[in-house]
Amino acid sequence: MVMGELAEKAQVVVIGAGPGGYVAAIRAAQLGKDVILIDKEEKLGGICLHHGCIPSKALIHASNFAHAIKRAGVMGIKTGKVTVETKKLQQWKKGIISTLADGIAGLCKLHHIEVLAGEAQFVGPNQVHVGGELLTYENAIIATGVTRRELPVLPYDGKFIMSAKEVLALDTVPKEFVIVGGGYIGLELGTVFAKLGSHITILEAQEQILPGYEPEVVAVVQKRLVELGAAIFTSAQVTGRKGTKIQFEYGGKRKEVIASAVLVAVGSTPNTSGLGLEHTKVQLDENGYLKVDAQMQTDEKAIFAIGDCVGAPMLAHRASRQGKVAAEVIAGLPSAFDNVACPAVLFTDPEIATVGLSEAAARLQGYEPRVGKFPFKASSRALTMNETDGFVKVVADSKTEQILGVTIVGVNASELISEACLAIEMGAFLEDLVSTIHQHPTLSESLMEAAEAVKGTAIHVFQMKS
Amino acid sequence: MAFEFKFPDVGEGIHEGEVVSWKVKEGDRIKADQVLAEVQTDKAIVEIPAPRSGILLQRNVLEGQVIKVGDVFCVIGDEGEKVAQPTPKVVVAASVVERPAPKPEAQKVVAKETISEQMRPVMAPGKVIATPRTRQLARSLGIDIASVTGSGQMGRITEEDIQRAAKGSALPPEQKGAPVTAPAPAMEQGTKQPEAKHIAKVTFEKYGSVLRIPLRGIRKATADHMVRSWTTIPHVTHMDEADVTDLSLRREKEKGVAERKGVKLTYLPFIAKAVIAALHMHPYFNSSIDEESGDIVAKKYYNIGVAVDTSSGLMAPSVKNADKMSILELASEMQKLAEKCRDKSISVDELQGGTFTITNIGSFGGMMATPIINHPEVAILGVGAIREKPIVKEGKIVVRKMMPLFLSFDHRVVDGAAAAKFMNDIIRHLEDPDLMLVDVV
Repeated sequence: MVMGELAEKAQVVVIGAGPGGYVAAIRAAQLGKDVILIDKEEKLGGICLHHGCIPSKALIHASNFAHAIKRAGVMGIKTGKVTVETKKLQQWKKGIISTLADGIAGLCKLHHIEVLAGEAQFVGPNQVHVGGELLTYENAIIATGVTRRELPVLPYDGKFIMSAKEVLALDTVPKEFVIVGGGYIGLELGTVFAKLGSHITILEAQEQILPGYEPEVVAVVQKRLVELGAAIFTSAQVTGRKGTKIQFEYGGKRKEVIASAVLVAVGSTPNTSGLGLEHTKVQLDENGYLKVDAQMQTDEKAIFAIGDCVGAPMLAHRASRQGKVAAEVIAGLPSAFDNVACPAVLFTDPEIATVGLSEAAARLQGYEPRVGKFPFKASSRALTMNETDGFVKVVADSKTEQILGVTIVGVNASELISEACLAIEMGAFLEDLVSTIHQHPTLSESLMEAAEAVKGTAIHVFQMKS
Repeated sequence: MAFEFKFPDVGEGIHEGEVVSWKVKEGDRIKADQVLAEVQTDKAIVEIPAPRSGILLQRNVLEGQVIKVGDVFCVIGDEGEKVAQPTPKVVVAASVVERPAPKPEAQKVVAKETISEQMRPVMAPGKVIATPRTRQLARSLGIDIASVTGSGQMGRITEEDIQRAAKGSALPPEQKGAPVTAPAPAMEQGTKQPEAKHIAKVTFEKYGSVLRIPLRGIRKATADHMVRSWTTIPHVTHMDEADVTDLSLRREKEKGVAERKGVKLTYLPFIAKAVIAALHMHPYFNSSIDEESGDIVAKKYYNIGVAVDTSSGLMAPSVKNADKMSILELASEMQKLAEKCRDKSISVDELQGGTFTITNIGSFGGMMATPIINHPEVAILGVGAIREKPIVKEGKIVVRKMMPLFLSFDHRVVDGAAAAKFMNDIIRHLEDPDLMLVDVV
């Protein structure tokens, strides 16, 4: 990190060093631009690395591991009581984060990217203030992300009412853990603490947990949560707290639940205020997200924007791709964010991964979708892993047999989805997937089988001839 | 029973055509062989006849749209039959569809809170089937991939399709794929940034009212053909003039004979005869470059093309085996072809296979021009208006009828000296009509 050595000018200024921003900075530097990367935090990597994807995955892996040991009796593995030393777990987690943050800093240094810590504020279309210094640039990339949204009836206090950031740093296991918001953050972290010994209660305002996901997908995860002893209230409206009791309305009745800790994870708001955007022609949409075109360019031609601050779906890998596009466009390359497949992965138990269109969405887009499903119960590899919950579902256009979407719920879904992403991005047809040899015995065969199931020719599930 | 009429194979090498105009409306009663529509192929306008009688239930292609051989052109059925309307494609973001609407009371506390948590990706496969690499290629060539017709499986767009689309474009690729150049650091605030991302769109409307005419049909075919010729052939134009005083006398003499046979005797068949004689002596002018093999292909047949001006544009039918014909036969054949062009009954075959083209702009006036070669031919002869001119002959000024001639040739195949010699032989024959009779086979 270079401090106190402010360059007055840069070809490209990137604001925000998350997975969108730092990737954009590196790509711009690779293409010969001289780049300044600004973040309000000292450490690079953004929410994803410090308070999001990475720490949560460390905790999820650890809690899964502990939980698997408890379930290993069926394989003849006997252990004593499994205990988790949460302070040690936090240390391990911090070590991972610092390794990765140092890695990003090292990469920036090797690319001669100047890194500045401070809040950035635009003062004109080609000028930005950082920590009292004025920077002039040719192009700027805004990658400021989003902030967790506060629930007015349950304001954060950082100790009892927490956001994911504080929960990820907990070195104790709350006895009664109330999760407000049954989206992916609530479920991922709720599952971690349920496996570590918390009794969890999930309060979701909508009719199902994981709103937006197909009921048959949600059912697999919900079954596991119930097995872990979770109490799930859907269509439940939180109304406030009374001491350590969280109050909510459910089924027309007032209810309350005792909590030793509360996680509120109910969405986010874009980080666009305080950026001085009023000094530029950058436009916001009705929800406050930055408006960009396929080249990630805002209405202020010199300024680009990428990642969560341009709106949903808010995913680190999408931000990275957009960051590369913005940097390449600035360098004069004919790039565009024209991807047709952007996977979403939920590290619930079991994992959920989706890409492309669901059956219902495909129908609404005018396709006549045909669906093929393959249950992990029929996968030899899933059986040998003692992980048979879930399925792979392939949606294809019945006319052309083009693959439109894939949903995987089950063990390692997060890794298995990649093949489907490539298939959809390349415009593959069912035949391409089913004629590709899939290594045996692996979970990946399930995707091939599900594709065959669309055609009615799956081998390992019996399909009646229609 | 409704019958799906698939766009037929209309001639050699034709894979697709653009519908210029429909001649029948949906619901019309049609008879077998009645003209349904005019379709512009890359060679000619073709009339598509009805394969059977019935009611035209549906036109599956719009005017101005391109249809491929084998695609459904229209649906013909019987009285009272209907076509199942395809479901209109509605684009709705996936996440919006599946998320159940929150109950009214839900909005009290956590209203909209979950919106930004929608994880179901909104991106989805669209109509264009192409790999990321092909899409990038399209952008780098400035091609809107959505406008490209895919030749692959289920309409997949290949890199070749993009290259083809790029070649058909009037703008050089490097100009279209203009990079986003970062504007120089503007010290003054509010400095206007140049619109650099795409080639500046010309807004003619800014300066007054305009009329926009779609570039299609023969106009489009001509435009594409001219660009192909001009960008692949290094053109050189050689100019001279011929004294056609004697020829004009000869023509006057034979005119009556021809008229009695219903043939209008113009200078054109004489010029064609002179050209054929010269082509026999200079075979390279009757050749083509085979772009694939790199060979020069000298043809042993002489199919003389004639540029014909029609109300819908320029056409160039060719007289096949013109070397085997008499002046009168040539005149009659050229007249027939020109009429066919004007009443649009010309066939694709009649428009193909030329070996050398003559363009007579003289009938509209003008002295000189630099014609563009009718690719893949090697040369084109332009003819200007015949004028009486004072000419110095053996020290005396005499008035002679002079015909301007201008020959554009492909400098890859022939050189200036060869062109001059070829032109001299054309002139020699035009100046001595008797020679034409002696020379020609």
